[in-house]
Parts: sequence; C-alpha cells; structure tokens
Amino acid sequence: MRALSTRRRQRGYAVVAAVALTLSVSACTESAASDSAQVESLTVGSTTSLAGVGVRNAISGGKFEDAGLTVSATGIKSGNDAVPQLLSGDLQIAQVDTTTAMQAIEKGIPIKILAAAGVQSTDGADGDPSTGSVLVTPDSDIKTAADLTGRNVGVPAINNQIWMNIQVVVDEAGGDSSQVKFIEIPGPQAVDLLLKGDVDATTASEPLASATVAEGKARLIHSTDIPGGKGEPSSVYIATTEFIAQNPETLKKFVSAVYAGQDEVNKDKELGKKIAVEQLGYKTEQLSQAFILDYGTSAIDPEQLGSVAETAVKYGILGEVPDPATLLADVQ
Amino acid sequence: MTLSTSPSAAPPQTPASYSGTGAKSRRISSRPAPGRPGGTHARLRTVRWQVTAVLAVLLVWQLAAVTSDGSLPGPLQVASALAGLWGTGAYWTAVLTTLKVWALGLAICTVIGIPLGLLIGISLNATRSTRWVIDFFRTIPTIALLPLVLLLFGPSIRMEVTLIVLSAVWPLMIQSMYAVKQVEPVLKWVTKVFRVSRRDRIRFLWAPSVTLLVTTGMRLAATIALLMTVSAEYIGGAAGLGKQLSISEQAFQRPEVIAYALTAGIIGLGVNMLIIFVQRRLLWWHPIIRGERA
Repeated sequence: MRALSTRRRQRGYAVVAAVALTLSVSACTESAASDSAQVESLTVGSTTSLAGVGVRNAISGGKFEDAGLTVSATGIKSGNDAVPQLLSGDLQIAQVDTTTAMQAIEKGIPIKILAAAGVQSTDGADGDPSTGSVLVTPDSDIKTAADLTGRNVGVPAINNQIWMNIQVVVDEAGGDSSQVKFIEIPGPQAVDLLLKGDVDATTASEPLASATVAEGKARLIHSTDIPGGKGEPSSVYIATTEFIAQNPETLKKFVSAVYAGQDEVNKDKELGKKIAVEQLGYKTEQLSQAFILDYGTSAIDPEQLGSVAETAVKYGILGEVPDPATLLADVQ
Repeated sequence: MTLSTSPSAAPPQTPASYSGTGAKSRRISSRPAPGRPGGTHARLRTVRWQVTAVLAVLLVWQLAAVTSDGSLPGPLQVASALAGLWGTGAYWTAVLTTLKVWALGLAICTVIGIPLGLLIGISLNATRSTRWVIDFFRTIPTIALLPLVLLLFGPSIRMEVTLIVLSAVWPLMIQSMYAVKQVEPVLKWVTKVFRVSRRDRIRFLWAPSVTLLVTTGMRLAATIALLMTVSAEYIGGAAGLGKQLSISEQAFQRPEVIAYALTAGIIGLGVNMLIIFVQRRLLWWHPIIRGERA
C-alpha cells in the first residue's frame, strides 16, 4: 500500500510537472507572439492650424485604413505640449517644428524624425505670399525686411523656426537681425497688436495674414520663408526611439500613408480648404484668400535637414550641427 | 432668551409678522405693502436693477466692439455664434465633459477638505501647526504646476482633477476650520453639562453651527473648481469647453471664442445660484439667511 501510494504520488508529481511545463511553454509562446505584434492604432498630435491638414486628409481619405492602421488626430498647441505627451505614451506620433525636434534631440530626449509634415512652399522671394507673413500697417515706414532692424517685431515664440527664418530674411535683405527686437505675442492676437501699435511689425499665419492684407488693414513685407529654402521641412512627425524600435513596420506604413494623403492636398488645394473647414473649424469665407502650404510627399533629404540645422546653429537655436543620421528614423 | 441657532428652536417673531394687536392680529400676507422689504414688489425691483446692470454691460460691450475696428465681436455677433454652437454636438459634448470633470473634482475637494478642515479646526494645536503649511500651499498659483501635471498625466481627466483639487480644496478646508472655531462655547458647555450624546451633539450643535460657513466654502470652491477646469482644458488640451475655446481661437473664430467663454460664465452663474438656493433651503432658520431674505 505504501509502495502504491508512493507510485501514485510520483505519478501525481509527473502530471503536475507536465501541466506546469505546458503552461509555461504556451505562455512563452503567447509572449513571443505579442512581442512580435506591432501596434496598429495610433494617436497623432497635430497642430490645428493649416499645417495639420495633411495628416487629417490622410485619415479622412482612408489612406491609413488601406494600410491596416487606425489613426486619429488630436489637436496640440505646440511642440512643447507634444513632447511630454509623446514621452508619456498619450501620443504615439506628434507633429512639431523641425527646429523643435532638433532641439529636443540635442537635449537628449529620445525621439527621432519620421517624416516631413509641412515644407517651405516658396523660395522666399520678396512679395511672394506664403504660409507665414511679416506684416506692417499700411502707413508704416517699414518698406523692406532690412527696415525691421531696430524695430519691434511680434513672433509666436522666440527660438523657434519662424523667429529663425525672419532673422535670415532680415540679414539676406541687408539688415541686422541682431538689432531686431522680437516680442512674443499670441498668434490669434498678432494683427490686433500690430494695429494697436504695440509692435511695429508682426508675423501672422494663414488665413489671418491673407485676410488682413485683403481687407487693407496691413501690408505684406515678406513671407517667413527663407530665400532659396523651398522644399525644406518646416514641420515634421516624430516618435520616441522606443516606439520606433518596437513598431518599425507600423511606422513605415504610417509614413507611406501620410505622404499619400499629403500629396493629394498638394495637388488639390481646394481639398485642403475643405478639410480645414470640416475638421479644423475654419469657415469657408476665411479661406477664400488663404495660401495653403505644401506638404511633404517623400523621404526627407538629409542635406535639406542639414541646411535647416546649420541655420539653427548660426542663430543660436542649436549648439552644433547634428548628424542627420541621428535625427532621422529608418522608416522613411 | 434662546441661545441656540439650531433649527429645533422656533423662529423668532419679527415685528413685521403681525399687524395690530389682540386676537384679530394677523400674520403678514404674501402681498406686503409696496416698498416693504421681503415682498414681491421688492424682489421685482431687485430683478429690474439686475436686468438694468446687464443691459448696461451689454451697451458698454457694444460700444467697445464698435470702436475696436473689428477685433472685438459685438454682443449680437456672439449671440449668433452661440446660437449656432447650440446646434452642434461638439458644443454640448464639451459642456457635459466640463461639468462632469468639475463635479468630480469638487466632490473630491469636499471629501478631503471638509473633514480635514473640521478636524484641524477642533484642535488649537493642529490649527497652529498647520497654519504655515496651508498658507504656503494655498498661495502657490496652481496654473504654474500645469506643465508638471501635464507631464505626469497627459491631457486627461486625471490632470484636470489634480489641478482642481490643488486649487479648490483650500477654501473648503479653511472655511471648515473657521466654522468649527466659531461654535458658541456656551453651547458646547451646555451639551457637556447635560451629557448630551455624541450623536445628538453632532445633530443639534455641530451640524447646524458649521453648515453656513461650510456651504460658503462650497460656493468659493465651486467657482475656483470651474475656473481651473476650463483653464486646464484651455492650456492643457483636455477635452471640454476650454479646449473648444482654444480650437476656435486657433481658427481665428472670435465670436465662437467669446461664446464659449460666455458659456463658462453662465455655468458658473448657474452653479452659484444653485448652491445659494440649497443653502437657503437648508439654513432657512439661520439669522443671517433670514436677514438676507428679508
């Protein structure tokens, strides 16, 4: 009896061991399977200005769905809002200024650039309108960008891309950008402060700038495009390095789909206006004169990124020119 | 002479309660003589003054809009924008979201602030030892903590509720502390001498004595909580009225911006009126409330 109970006990131990082994093997298999499964649902933090039209068109046009992704866009006010949300996982992808992305990477924040969102739409020639404009009152004695030397100029933020571009424009026109007094003012109130006389000149984005000029309330001095910088990325999509490492295929699909959606808008500006009205809260009459910017449609050229970085170093936004390989994710 | 302010005591007889003398004296009717305080006429006069004040503000607003060269929309433009928003789902979703977060935040403030305030107020040592801590933390501008809270919790309800609690818990706590301290010492001694049970002390002494100041604290906290909810949504990007206001601002829709701001104001007014209504119903017997209604 004792021998029988011992055998029974041993059989019992064997059964338990077999069950445990089976369970652990299946758990490992499941774990391995879940490790290899990539995220297919993405939340993109995107500006609610016209620069956010590209990704929204890609969403509403089904480009992401076709690629097997579920993507939603949520509005963000600035890169400073987007980066913390990216790091905390509330966003998987964010749209920020190119210089903001470079600054963050230089500071050691673990992010990389995935793709171009908005690109500079013109070559920055005098009088050409673009997505951002430097405006003065109609009776102002400021006639050219060089005349901004020593004057108060309103900008949305100091140390960002628009601030940098205006300095380039002033210097290229023969002025001294170091003598320009930049004042941070909120974008929606930019024209009001100009008309009140609080600033001598101001930057204004579309559609506010074109509407103001059309109404005769202000005069265009120069766009915020850098001379000769057509096609350079003005805003980019970024993600954390961890997310990129875990979801490379997902991000390749994202990049491909967003470029397809942005290409559609480049070819049909009325489509861009329609998206702006339906999804960003603009009114049709506001956009009648609006300049719709160009969006990125292909992989970012490291040389163009390098050009932006060199300008950023020259004007003190970056400490040194980064290697584009350290900026770009390998998903383009 | 009655020392108690408890509702169990009969309300005092005011001279205006009776006209004349003797058995045929009658209580004041629901229609007092014109001009007498407390009557319908007086209330109508008050409402007339309130409407006049609102019309004056609207007139000043219209004048400012006319002289602003188009940068400030006038009342009619804003009213039209508001009417347009009422027909959209996004507006009502934003209103309900803001109310939900506000209510949640205020509830948490109540659960934390009132008991803590009462406990601290009971003890002189506790009051003294926490004074610096409370004064320090309540002076910190909560909106300055938004970037940190946003980093921790993202643009979420948790972010909003954290900011609401950090800002609105203080008036509740402080009012509760003072509520305990202003309880009449003689009443406390009487309950002690007569060995009134704890339950009866809470019911007939403490609860009636502290309710006025605690409900006043609620009014203050409710307003601060609403301000912080909308601010957190506007700056932090959480869903709600503030975010819709921000989106309208980014899209240069000025009438809609002011319409959303007015909505927040109307909600604040409604909340305040509701709390006053509840306070007056609950504390109808209190001399201060009776004096307000007179």
